[in-house]
Amino acid sequence: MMTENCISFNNVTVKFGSATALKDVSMEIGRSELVAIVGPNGAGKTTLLKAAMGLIKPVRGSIKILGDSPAKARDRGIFGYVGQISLYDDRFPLSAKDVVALSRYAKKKFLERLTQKDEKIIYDSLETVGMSGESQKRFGDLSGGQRQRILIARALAFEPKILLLDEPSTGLDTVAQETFYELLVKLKNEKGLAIVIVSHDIGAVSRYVDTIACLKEKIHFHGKFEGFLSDENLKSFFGDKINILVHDENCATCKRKNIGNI
Amino acid sequence: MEIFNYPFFKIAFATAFFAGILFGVVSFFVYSRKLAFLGVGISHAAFGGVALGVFFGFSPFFSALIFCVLTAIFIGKISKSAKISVNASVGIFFSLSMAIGAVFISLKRGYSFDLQSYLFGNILAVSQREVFYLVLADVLIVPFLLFFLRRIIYLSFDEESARVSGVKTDFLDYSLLVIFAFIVVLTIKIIGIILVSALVILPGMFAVLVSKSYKSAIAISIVFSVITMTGGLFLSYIANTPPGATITILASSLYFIFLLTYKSLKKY
Ligand SMILES: Nc1ncnc2c1ncn2[C@@H]1O[C@H](COP(=O)(O)OP(=O)(O)OP(=O)(O)O)[C@@H](O)[C@H]1O
Ligand SMILES: [Mg+2]
Repeated sequence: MMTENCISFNNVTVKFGSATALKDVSMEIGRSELVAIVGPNGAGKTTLLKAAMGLIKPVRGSIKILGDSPAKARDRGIFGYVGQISLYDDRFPLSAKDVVALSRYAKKKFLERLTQKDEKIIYDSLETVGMSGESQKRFGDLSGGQRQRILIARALAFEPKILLLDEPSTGLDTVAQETFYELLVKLKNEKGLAIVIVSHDIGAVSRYVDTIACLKEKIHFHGKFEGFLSDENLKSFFGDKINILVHDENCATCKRKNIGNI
Repeated sequence: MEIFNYPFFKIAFATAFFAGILFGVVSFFVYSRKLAFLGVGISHAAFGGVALGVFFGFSPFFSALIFCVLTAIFIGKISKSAKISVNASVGIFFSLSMAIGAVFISLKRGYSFDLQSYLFGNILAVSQREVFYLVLADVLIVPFLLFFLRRIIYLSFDEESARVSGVKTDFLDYSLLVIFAFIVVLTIKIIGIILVSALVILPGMFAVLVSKSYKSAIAISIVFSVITMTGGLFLSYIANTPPGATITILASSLYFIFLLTYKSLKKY
């Protein structure tokens, strides 16, 4: 593990105006590594993913993706991304399959058509998320969980080297969640993907991930889950019940920060 | 039909046809990228450009073109910086450039501005040269948009993911804005701002209302636009009404009739 760095953060600080979202974050994520990022709301998890893809620029520090800048990595088609919040126009005339096909088209040169191989990748991705039967439905007519599956299929169909997932299990039923995590493990092992998954459900992800990173402005821990459990400092930081990360009212230190004092 | 014996009507018909194609294609993208209000804004901003041209003695067409393209780019810049929405910035520019227009027109002594033709244009007074410009616009703009079709759709549907997948979202957005400003200025003279604002919106909305796939949506949008433009022209001849206004009424009524019946049809 970690022989080859896919994502490398070097003292990265991100600010929104005067508010600091990430502070001196350094972390390495290697090929074939499945890492969960946990932390309370407003901890900077989404910001970290967006910074990795170059959608947000750090004020200090540097980010390298497979040796390149994030923008260069985007051009190289490195990232598969499932975002946290998605607002879509329900009337948009796209079928579920069209949505998945978009990521194949994004890889094409102009005017190139989809080949049989593309069609197969699209079909397989739909099949993987259990949506091949629903592929002709208008995306806007799908249920929330079904949409989420389609968005996952779209990220898979892109055949990325790095998969960034921001609470991807939102809306997935229990069976779909398990299948999904197993799929991630398979992708990691068979294709050598680096996978970063933001999750609040630490209990569920802990069985599948290689490492866990605790983020709250800074990286407070990044290592094996067992190490995380036995880390005394960490316990005192997050409280001694792990499910404290799921953020409840007993959680003293993980208080929700004021998000957006508008 | 004996009406085609008049050369001016032949030209008007060709204008309606070629402008119809242009509006049909563009309005689908206007719908996708949610630029409807921008159409209204830019068409009104053209007034400021025309006035500046009149005042400084440039060709009003080119001053309006430059003014509108710059306005479109500026609106794009402002909304990209995410401080205010596109709609809010359009609202500001829209009234600002109308105000600038009014001031400059009033400063130009002895100039009487033909508001009627600015609002509704005059499709019956189009020159051959202007039809040629329209055909040229069709030939350049339609292939460009179809060329980038999937990328623009990706961008419209999910901007962030499109960017992450390597789609040049800024380039496409600015291209759309510039194309848009260009079409608006080109067609205002012919059919006026009211009709331009209506026709960059209605065909796309109609198409999305009745179609399941984006390919059929584009086709339907073009058909709707060409039929309402040419049909409205004939109607105006028969009823002896102003062509621009007739076309607008025809297109709007068709849209609303389908909006109401389509919903009730789906229920049963
Ligand atoms: N566009 C923005 N403008 C200003 N502040 C922002 C912006 N995006 C995020 N922030 C701030 O940065 C901090 C980190 O936000 P981020 O979205 O990364 O949190 P998160 O860990 O993903 O939280 P959640 O678990 O709720 O998704 C928050 O305090 C938030 O208010
Ligand atoms: Mg988040």
